[in-house]
Amino acid sequence: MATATHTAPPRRTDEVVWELLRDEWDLLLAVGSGPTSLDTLVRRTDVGPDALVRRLGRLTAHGLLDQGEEGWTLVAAVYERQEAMSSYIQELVLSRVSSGVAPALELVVRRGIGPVEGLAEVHRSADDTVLREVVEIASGPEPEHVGRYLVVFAATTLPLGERDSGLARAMDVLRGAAIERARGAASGLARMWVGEMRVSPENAVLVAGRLEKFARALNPTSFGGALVVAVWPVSGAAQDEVAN
Amino acid sequence: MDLRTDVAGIEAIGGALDDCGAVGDAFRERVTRGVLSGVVLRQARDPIHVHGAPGTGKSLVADVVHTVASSALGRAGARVDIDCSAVVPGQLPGALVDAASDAAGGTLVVDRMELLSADGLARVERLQRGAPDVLLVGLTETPTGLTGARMKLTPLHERERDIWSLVDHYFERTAAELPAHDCLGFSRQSKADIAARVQGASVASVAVLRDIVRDCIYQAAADGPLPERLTSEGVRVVLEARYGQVAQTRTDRDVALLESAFAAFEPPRMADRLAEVHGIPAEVLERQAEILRVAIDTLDGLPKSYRNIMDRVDDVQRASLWLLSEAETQAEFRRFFGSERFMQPTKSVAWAFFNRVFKRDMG
Repeated sequence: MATATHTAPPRRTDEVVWELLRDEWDLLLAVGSGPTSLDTLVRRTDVGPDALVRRLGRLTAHGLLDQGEEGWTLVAAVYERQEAMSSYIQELVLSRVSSGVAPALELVVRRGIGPVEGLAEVHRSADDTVLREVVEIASGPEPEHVGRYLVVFAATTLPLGERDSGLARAMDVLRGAAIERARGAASGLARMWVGEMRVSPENAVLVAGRLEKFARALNPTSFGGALVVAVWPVSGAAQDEVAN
Repeated sequence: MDLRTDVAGIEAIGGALDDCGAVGDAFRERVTRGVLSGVVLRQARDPIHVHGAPGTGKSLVADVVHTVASSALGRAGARVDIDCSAVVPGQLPGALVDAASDAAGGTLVVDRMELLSADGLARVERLQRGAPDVLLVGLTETPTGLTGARMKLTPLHERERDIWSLVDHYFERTAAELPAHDCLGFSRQSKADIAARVQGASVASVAVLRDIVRDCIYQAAADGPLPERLTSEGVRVVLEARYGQVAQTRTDRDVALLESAFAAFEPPRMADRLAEVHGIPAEVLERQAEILRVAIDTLDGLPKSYRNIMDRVDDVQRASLWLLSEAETQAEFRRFFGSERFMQPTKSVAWAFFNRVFKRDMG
């Protein structure tokens, strides 16, 4: 997400824009909150300026970036698609989680024992509080030393199996959320919010802490299904948000 | 056969696959394994029989085998092809003998072997034994039971990974037939939709996929200049109208893929991950963790805080190192690290180490 905002960022569901987002994920993360100059992007991406200008031009033309005198900035938006969940999950979640050596900074799975409809209020509350905070933290000026972190907030109304590890339980929630989203089921309740941040390690810990605090504060009788919040370090950058 | 030969063989097969225009990681991996074990490692001493449904790439494998046999195994003879569907059964014996003669030191490709009678197969078998300088490549839809190396080619709908690559490949080839455009190809969604058709209809042949791709591209071209992306909106019109695809098929397939992806998700065990990072066997790490657990359990009466645990772990490690050195004196301990001074701890460091290990009060 490019800039801190106190109004809900627009939701974009256009297939061409989604495609561009997936194609240029790394470049968008390299632009970050910006403004980021062409020289900086050449340094961050190791791509020649001519090729970068063409790609940045396309991203700007489709409204993913803004270009100003000092460079490019991300346009605050939530990119949302429901279909082709499998490739999305594979590319942006599973491959990152399984390839990383380091464990999650934070991973909390909460099961509700109340009505699943309560998840809608959980999502509203998350949007108004913790997810907004995450976006604000991720949108701050980029420090010299940054890491790349995958942030997940997902919920499903499907029952979870008994699993040994937190990671296995988290994967169960992600699986449930992805399948319900793919089926178009549990509208407004099943949720898959995935972001990638390019922030300092301190801010990554801060984000992890905010998510953990939100999840632990939930009253299990107020919602049904299950919810996972997690932050994983990944080998690579970002201030972007993708919801699915 | 040593490893270097294997590597050279794999590189030769990769080059042949490139030269022959093979697309799709799954296909290439299967052919690489099959040609390596069936041809390269055997130095082309055995025949190789390739079977698979129509359109699974049998002819392409024959191309690869002959290319590899020529480039990597130094077989300078010609390639000769016999199509069993074009040979009158009574003429088969003579045709085989002539072809084998022409293919001496080279490759004899016998296609459509599923059409051969038992007698015809027996003649091929005899030829295999009687012409050892001919590399016989048998192509057939179903296994023939003849002796030699075998390679089974899987149908396209079982090669999930290859479908998207082939869609991109056929896009490039088809789009090149059209006037200049800025189309970047199919979107992920539209590729997933096409793959759903391939899987749903159990399509075995890449030629059918090529037709679907061409249908989608030319349908878009008929509507005007190709768009920046061929999205699902246009592709679904073709898939639904010409191929009878319904939305539920797409959803079912996406869900099945999700189930499969999560079922296959298995991150490495933490011990294995850390073992790789630190270059030490996982069992050693696990043993060390158990030792630390015992050491921490001895913190009787003290809170198991980070500071207390780290102090205890540090004490145990230092004491263990002293034991390992079998030193009786500080000087022996220093020499444990080597005879050169730069390898040893300084006297003051050794002194501090000694005091820590033996709990001597420095005050």
